[in-house]
Amino acid sequence: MSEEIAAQLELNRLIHASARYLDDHDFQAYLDLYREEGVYSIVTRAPELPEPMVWMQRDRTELDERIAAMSEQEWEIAEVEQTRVVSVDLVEVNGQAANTSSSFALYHTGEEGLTSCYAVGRYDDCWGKDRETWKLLSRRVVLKTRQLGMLSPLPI
Amino acid sequence: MPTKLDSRTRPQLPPTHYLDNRIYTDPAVFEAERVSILARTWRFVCHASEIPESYDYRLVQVAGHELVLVRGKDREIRAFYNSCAHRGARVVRKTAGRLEQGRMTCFYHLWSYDDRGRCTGISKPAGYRDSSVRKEDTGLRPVSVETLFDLVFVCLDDAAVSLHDFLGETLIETIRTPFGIADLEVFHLHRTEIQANWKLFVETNYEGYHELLHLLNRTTGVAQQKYQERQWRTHERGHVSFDHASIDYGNLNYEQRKAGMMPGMKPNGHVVINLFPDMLLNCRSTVARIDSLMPLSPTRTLLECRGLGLADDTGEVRAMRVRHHNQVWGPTGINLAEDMWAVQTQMRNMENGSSRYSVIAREEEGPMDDSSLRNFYAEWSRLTGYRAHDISAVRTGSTGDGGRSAGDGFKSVPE
Repeated sequence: MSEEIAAQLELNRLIHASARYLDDHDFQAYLDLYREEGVYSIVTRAPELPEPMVWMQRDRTELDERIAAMSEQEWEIAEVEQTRVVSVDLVEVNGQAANTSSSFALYHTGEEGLTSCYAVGRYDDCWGKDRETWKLLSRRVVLKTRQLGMLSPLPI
Repeated sequence: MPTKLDSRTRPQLPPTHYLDNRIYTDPAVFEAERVSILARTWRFVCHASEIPESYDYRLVQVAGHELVLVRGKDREIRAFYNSCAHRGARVVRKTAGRLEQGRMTCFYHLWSYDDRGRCTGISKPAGYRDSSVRKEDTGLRPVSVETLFDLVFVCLDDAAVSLHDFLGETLIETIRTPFGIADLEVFHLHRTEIQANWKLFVETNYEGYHELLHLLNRTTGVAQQKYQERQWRTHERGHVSFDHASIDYGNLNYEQRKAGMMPGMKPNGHVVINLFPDMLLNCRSTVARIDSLMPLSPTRTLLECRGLGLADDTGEVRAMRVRHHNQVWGPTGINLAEDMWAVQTQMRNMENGSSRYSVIAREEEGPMDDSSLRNFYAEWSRLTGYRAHDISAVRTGSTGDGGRSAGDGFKSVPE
């Protein structure tokens, strides 16, 4: 197997793992996918405004703090199960760096068993290879859904 | 004498101090609100920075009607019902944009209108040769528009008082800081549907008691001694403002807001202004927020939230404002989610009848006084003709007349 194909397979695995960690609320595993200086952001575009909007931008430390602080509040989103369906559309490997783009749909299932689609969009990721391990330098969540039925500072 | 409070027994309180929860669920009440309040008061629809250039337009929803706002060649902002004078088709179909060649053309039979709503073209006009239909007498139906500090308001009632009279001089001066000192710009706009009556969300902006709900508020302002001096100011026509206060963000490990402040704001300053019926103006020192509502049904409401900075912000300052905005507000902030969840749980219990009455009886010299809510419901009652504490009683004369009926007595109608 060529090095590039091995990298593509590994990145594919990591993208799906990132979705599963969030579904499972395994935030430590999710944060471990990032480099120390890794950045997470959510952006979207509204037809009424000329520039894209930034709905969230946090480095790994801030994301960690925000997730830890969630225990101090009651959150409606904590009462639903999340399921992310991800399709990796693009993997570009260039030596120790890579860019990937993946479509996702995030579903919510309430305690009563009803499921609804919460959001769809794209994960645009930049990766760097530290020795043998790929780490996220940035994840940019590009949301198509702009009306979110349940609000939270959790990563999408 | 103590009053029994069990969600179903009418509280033994002054009628101004409790609410009949059917005001949140009854379709007839909702219709009276639509006709008497939502269609008869000045409603915020957008900030002028959202349509900065001539021929820029955007669609807005008011009291169930779709309007198109257009900035004309003369830079005036005008509003029209988005309905063709010919057969009522939707003339403008994109949410926002710029009019091509300064014209709006109905896609159904290609009638066209200019930036003032005047008909500029009727296709195949010869067919109307023997009738009185002429483009010179045809146009989109206009709606009253007034702008205050770049805040754009419309009113569907041509006979309404002016925006200036609707707000009053004192309140206009209150709004000036920070909204009327320098040019502002909207950098954030999001909508979210709340599964609750619109008034329940309005109430979260009209009272300080629920600050106990918010981690941010109970950890910062509410926990600070000086904050207890903060008071609500009631204004005529149901408007209220919350005194400027200074909030120390240290307890939450949030950065203080002492640099890059919005015009006229003090370090860590905070101000809240609520314009009846549904507009919130909020500024936390470095960033401003405007909320407005589109009631969809008794139990569904579309909330529209904006974040604003200065039009001439540098990139660095704008990034700070966006960060401060998103910490507290917006879809990922820590406050809005709590408000939405709270009112949705209220709605469920009101809809199924589990909760029959609500209490708005707090009286204190401080931020948790309920006088602001009582002020809202006094105006609500004046306009709808319903008594907020008992909707079985309807004012004699026609309801839904915007409070213009001569009689101020009430008659009882069966539940």
